[in-house]
Amino acid sequence: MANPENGVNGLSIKEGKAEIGLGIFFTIMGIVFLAIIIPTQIKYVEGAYPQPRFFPDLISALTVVLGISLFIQGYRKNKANKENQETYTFKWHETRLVLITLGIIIAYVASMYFVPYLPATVVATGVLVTVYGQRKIWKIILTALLVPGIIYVGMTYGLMIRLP
Amino acid sequence: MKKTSKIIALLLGVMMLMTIVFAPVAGAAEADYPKGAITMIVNYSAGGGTDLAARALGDAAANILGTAITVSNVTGGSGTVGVTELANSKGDGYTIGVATLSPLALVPWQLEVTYTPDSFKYICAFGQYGYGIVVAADSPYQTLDDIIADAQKQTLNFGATGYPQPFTMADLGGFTDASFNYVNYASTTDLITDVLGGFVPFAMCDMASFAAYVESGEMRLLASGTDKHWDVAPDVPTLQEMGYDTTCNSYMGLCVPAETPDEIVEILRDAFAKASEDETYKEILENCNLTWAYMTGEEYEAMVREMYDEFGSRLSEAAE
Amino acid sequence: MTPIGMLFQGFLSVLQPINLIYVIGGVVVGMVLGAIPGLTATMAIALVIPLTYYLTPTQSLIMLLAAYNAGTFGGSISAILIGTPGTPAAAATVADGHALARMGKPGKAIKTALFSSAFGCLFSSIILILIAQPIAKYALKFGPAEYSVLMLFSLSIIASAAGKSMAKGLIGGCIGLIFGCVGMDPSYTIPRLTFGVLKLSSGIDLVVMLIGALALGEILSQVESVASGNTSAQLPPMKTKDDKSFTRTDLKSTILHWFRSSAIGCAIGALPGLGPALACYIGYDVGKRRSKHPEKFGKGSVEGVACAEAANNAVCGANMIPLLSLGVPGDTGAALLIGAFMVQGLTPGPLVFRESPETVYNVYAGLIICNLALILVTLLTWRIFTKICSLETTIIYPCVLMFCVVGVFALNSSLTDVWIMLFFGVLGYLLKKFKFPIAPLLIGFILSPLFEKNFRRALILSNGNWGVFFSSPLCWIFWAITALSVFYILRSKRKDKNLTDGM
Repeated sequence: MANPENGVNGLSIKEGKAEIGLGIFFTIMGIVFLAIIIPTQIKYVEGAYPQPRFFPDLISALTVVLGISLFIQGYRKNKANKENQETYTFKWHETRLVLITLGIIIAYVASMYFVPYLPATVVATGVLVTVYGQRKIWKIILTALLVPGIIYVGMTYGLMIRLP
Repeated sequence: MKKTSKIIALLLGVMMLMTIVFAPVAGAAEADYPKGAITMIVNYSAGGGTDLAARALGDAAANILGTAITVSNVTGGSGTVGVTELANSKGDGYTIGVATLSPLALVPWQLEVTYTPDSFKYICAFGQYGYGIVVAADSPYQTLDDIIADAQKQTLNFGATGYPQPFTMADLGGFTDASFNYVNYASTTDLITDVLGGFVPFAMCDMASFAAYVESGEMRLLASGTDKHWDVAPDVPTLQEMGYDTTCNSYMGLCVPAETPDEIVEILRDAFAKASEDETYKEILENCNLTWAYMTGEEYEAMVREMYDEFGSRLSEAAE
Repeated sequence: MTPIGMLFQGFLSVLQPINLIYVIGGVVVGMVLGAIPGLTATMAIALVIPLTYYLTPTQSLIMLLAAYNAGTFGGSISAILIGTPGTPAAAATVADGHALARMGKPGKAIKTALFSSAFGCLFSSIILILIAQPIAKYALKFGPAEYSVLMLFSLSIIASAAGKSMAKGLIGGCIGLIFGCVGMDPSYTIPRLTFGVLKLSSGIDLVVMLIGALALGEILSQVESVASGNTSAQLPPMKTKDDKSFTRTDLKSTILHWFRSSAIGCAIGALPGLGPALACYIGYDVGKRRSKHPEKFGKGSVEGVACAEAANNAVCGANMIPLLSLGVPGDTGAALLIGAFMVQGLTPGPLVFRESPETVYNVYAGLIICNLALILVTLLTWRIFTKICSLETTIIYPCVLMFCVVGVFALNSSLTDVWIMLFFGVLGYLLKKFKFPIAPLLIGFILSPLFEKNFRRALILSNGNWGVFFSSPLCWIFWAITALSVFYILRSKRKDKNLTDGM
């Protein structure tokens, strides 16, 4: 398992502290749901029993209670013995790759509103394979051409689904 | 690191090049339409009654037009997502779509949709959904009058999968001073099991899904909501024959985006008029317990607009 | 002719070479589509149905059933080898299956899944043949109130699946429950929580959410290890014979689980409206509670894989129980099969026994034979899958990502679904990071609409009388089961607490 590395190389949070933070987060989310999101998103229907809002309200209230409980749990852990706890680490160079992957996929999906499927996928596949560290050019090109090609042929002629 | 960024730059350059190459080119001339495959958007899921009927019709029309018609199922929003996609498609004649009455005339009043009846040109209507009142075989109700009598004493629950059925029941209630409560069932399967299990007194439902049960004797048909008798129960009268001036119908129709040139619309209208006479198509319709019906584009359009206004006023009445 | 005689005839006709080809074809198509994350068995059926116009009823039905069964199994292949379920039914197989693969035992895991799946489907097929009618009549007794209490019991499974931290598990469940509320209100046709997006008004598709949270979330986590320079295949090679095979010891430990999980899968499949995803979680959970080694579940337990897979494939056969005896489908897969029947001019339901009994018995025979075909095909080809998945991670992950995107898109031809998948991918990744168990999220999401719509419908039909939830013996039975379940959970939590306090 990774050693906790603070500061430059990443972020690591002890379980107790994490639970405090998460507890607060969920309590606030629950309240936001109850107060803002549910009333604006769900109409109030005359004479309805039970209300369309009933179930979501119930769940949000439950979330608030659980958020508080998680907060208390984290608070206790924080005060108590710190050695038996787990640590959540976010190493920067790992997280960076995750964010890059997400960025590429978001750009790829957005591009499919303008560009047909095949070129977009070829490019996206190529970029991803490269970014993950593949160095051999022929492998990059082969994958980038072969996989989208198979998908395209399989979808359009095999399953008869129209791709963008 | 440097090598990676070079490669990325190269690939990005390729991507930009391809975008330019593949960018939408101006539409081809309409003279030799159809030149390539036509896409038919079906707004309900694959394998369902509407989908099977649409595919069969598409096959028949494909033979007449001389080009392939591929079906794309775009489902969701009670049939509106597919209709929305159709409205937003290019009006070059290569995209057509199934637009049933409900998402055109009814659902716009319930959900926020981006289209109106003006967003389309209408090719034809090719099938009809018929509705009827059914009860379980072991139900105490033998005729529609029994139900009405009961409903005059206390509010009676009935199940339906959506509008326009509740409007018909409301009409019926109005004529006879009976009171009905509409219980919504999003899924036909749930409605079937609840009727068979006796959990809901009766249902007003589309015959395509229920004819099989009437035929096998598990359910009893008490009234037909359309203007014809049903083969599975030929003695059962229609609502109108019983003296109630109300019907319950919905239709399956075919439309194209409004910018489609009129010449192309005429070609499509001719082709589908002939296709709807095709024997295989009629056979599949019958197997799916759907009613064959044909309306020209203009007739369908007129009906859609009429129902659009009528549903609008009824729904706002009901909301008060 | 007696039923046995007709069944024998059924076998004879299915075993003809031409029909066998369709069975095997169905198995291959189903397995491949099931194994690809993003494509599901149901989708395979939906797209193959139009192609079956030109086949005889027997051929089309046995091919579709073989595809459905193989697809439900196929999802477990990618669950085991890559850690992403190929179909919702394989969601519970991921934890143990992938852990086994990481220990260098993918062969054992795949074979366990294979035999469990085949057993589950065979079990439910035999039940179908023998006692379909009485079970179907019994299933009709489930009204909205009964379903609601049954769902209440299922909700208690969330607590059981929560693992170490009850609060985190329950929060996960709540998140899932809320997302399940997105869509149209069950009773009043008004949109809820859709934020103006039209596509959301029909709700979030289970497959989209599952692929996003489990598949995408898992890949994003594994991408972290790529960043650390880990580019080689991440599955250790299989060293001993034991790693590749399903041994007698394995059989001994799993056989009881098979019977139990298959029975659960049968019960769930026979009730209209539930599905294999629910079955796999319930089968897994009940198996965990009754096992002698519950602590191994989730870390590479052969029993875990067996429970989940037996339950979800049992649904395949059990789906046909209400379909053939009442004409009511058990879940979406069977609903599509109704279309297949109708295209051939047959009406599913009691009539079909009169109209075309040979077809029915051919279908029975087909169900049994397709399991044998599945075993055969898989035993011959599983190494290919393993080889494919041991390519470099730099190639595998982008490919899987592309498959996920295209698969989710192909479901409804909708890019909006892909965005939803991405959203859940990020959510799944974060939940994994903070060690929230994901199973409660999925269970909550599946159960939320089921519970709410039945609960509200029960109240509406009884005109607001809450007594309806206690009105029938079935309701009482489920209340009792729920109470027992909660009791056991609390008791085991207390046991755990005593253990840690004592340290």
